[in-house]
Amino acid sequence: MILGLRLDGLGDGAVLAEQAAFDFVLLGDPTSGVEGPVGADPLSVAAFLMTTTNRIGLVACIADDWAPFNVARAVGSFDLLSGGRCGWMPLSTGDAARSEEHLDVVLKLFDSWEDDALVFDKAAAVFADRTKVHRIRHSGAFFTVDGPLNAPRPPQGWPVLIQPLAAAGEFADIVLAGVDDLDRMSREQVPTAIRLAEITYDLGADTAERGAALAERMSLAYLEGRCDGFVLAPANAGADIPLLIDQVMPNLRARGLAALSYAEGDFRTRLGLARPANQFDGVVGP
Amino acid sequence: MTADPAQPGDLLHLGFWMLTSGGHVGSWRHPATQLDRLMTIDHYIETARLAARGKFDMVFFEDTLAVRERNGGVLGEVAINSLDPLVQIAALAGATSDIGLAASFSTTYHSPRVLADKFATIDQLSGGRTGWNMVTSGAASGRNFGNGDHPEHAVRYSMAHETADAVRALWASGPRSPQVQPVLIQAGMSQWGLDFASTYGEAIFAAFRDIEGGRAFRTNLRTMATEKGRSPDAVKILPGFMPFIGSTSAEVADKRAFYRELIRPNMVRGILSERFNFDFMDYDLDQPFPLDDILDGLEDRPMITSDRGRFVKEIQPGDTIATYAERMASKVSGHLTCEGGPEEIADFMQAWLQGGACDGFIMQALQIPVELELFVDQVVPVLQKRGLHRRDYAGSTLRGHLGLEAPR
Repeated sequence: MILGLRLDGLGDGAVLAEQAAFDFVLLGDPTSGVEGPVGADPLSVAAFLMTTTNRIGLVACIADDWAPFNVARAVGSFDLLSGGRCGWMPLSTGDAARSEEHLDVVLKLFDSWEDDALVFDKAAAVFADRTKVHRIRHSGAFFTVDGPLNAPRPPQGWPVLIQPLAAAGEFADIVLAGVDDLDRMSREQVPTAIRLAEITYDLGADTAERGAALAERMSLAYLEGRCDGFVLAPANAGADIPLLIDQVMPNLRARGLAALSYAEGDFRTRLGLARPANQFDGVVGP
Repeated sequence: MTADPAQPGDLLHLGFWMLTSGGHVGSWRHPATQLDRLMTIDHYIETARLAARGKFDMVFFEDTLAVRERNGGVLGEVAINSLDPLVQIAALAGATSDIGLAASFSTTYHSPRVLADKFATIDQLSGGRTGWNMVTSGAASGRNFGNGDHPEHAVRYSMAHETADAVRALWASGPRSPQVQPVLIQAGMSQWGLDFASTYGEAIFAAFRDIEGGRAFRTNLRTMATEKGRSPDAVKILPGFMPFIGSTSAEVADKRAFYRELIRPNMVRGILSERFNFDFMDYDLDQPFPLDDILDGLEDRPMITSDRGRFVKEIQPGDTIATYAERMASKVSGHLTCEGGPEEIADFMQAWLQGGACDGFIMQALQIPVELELFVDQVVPVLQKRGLHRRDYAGSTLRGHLGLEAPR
């Protein structure tokens, strides 16, 4: 099963999550960037974790009141610098049509440089092939963005996109729902995306008993095909993350449901997702 | 008002300007430049650690919100310097321990909330090592933000004032880092820029023609800050600077020739095309500068109409395209340069500091890492021996390195 761990604040727990071979950590929550105190920007925390961890996927919630050009550049830069470890979860701050268009613009900007646009030809003194860098010329109801992005295409093509079930569209790589919403996440309802269920857990009392129940609940839902994995949200990060790793992970490994180490490849590859084609492939000239 | 020369014992404050492959436009073609690493965090970690070995106060990232273009497409002849600077300093916070981490970020295209949140977060993650260079962004950015009309200069600065106030208020409401708040850095030498700098700026990134110009600017800004109730020492002036290090004049000449060779004719044509919004790609570099061709139809290229007078002034009688380009390149984008061995480079820096013309420099290296390493290994020890540069960090906040007090 695919396993993510939700972290808050400044991302304490990421190193432990990596030691336990979690697929990713998820930074931020629905209030990120909109309200709440300043000083816990999920993307900045995820970027910090790029150098304090080595392999684990790093997913940041990003409120879509930040302009699509800024979002595309930040997420794309993150993916480039980290060598393909980036994921992101847009959080809607307006109406659904606006959020949909925002995502459309971000994906176009990711694609504004073709994969082979950087030619690095020292002899001919050509850094980038300008015929493979395209204006997106987006003009919609909410955004007008000319492009291109001022960063090349991210190594994953599109960094892994997580969307909440309620807002999931055709481009979601991962759909995230509450564990009580599994009935709305059948394969018929979510045909291709990875389906993850979020469980808030508390192992602070009756630890062994609660840990066993959690592992049992997760394996049952997974083996019945009701989801493809989980995002675990500790009720109390300081205590519940070590307890999860000591009490629950060995149980899941014993059942053959949790990995011991990381496979090769970038975040997208490890999740078994295909690399998206570039929508501007074949377009000639800017 | 007399100049306010540095007191003996004052230290230079040094920022290192993090460009992908270096400050020279041909640096990406340097044999030591590993192009496949330029956009990996390892490249920046190694560079920041090298600067930390030289006990620099900080590394400094610029910020642009549009590609460089020529003739309706990307300027493919130069390297990119435009990854998100806050993602970079956040990542560096996890991989370095003492050196300051400064980044430019736009007051025009980010809300106070976003600016305050990101810098406050990275300031905590880094233990109080961040600086924010408050920039208003160039005109080319507008078309990526649904703004065909990029706000004009005065409007951008009035927005910047409001944004700076709002960001500081948000910081005051949030958790305090060891340096309380990020250091506020500012560039821009217009009247609006000076007013903004004397109100908010703690480190000022400046460009001067000569030492007298530096001294006059510094004296003026310190006076303006005093008039606003601030200590004159609460504002540090840091001009841009790029040294040509060579132990003999022959070595310097060789280095100049080597770097000149890195600029190929197509790069010259491309950069001129960008500068004049005119297609130079089929021109011979040895032909007379085609001023008439450029001025012809200028009204159809509105981006540069306002620069017409400046461009015309720059072109001298008898110029070929090549001689014009060479003269432009030697200006190193308005920043200071000097050449010579380590003692001579140190002499230059000392003269500016003790002449009251600056408090330090934001330094570029011709190429990263080769020329930064040369500076760290050869010039830094001379500066240290003269008592002009720290031998080790005395603290671990940027505010501490720069000798700035916490904001009230």
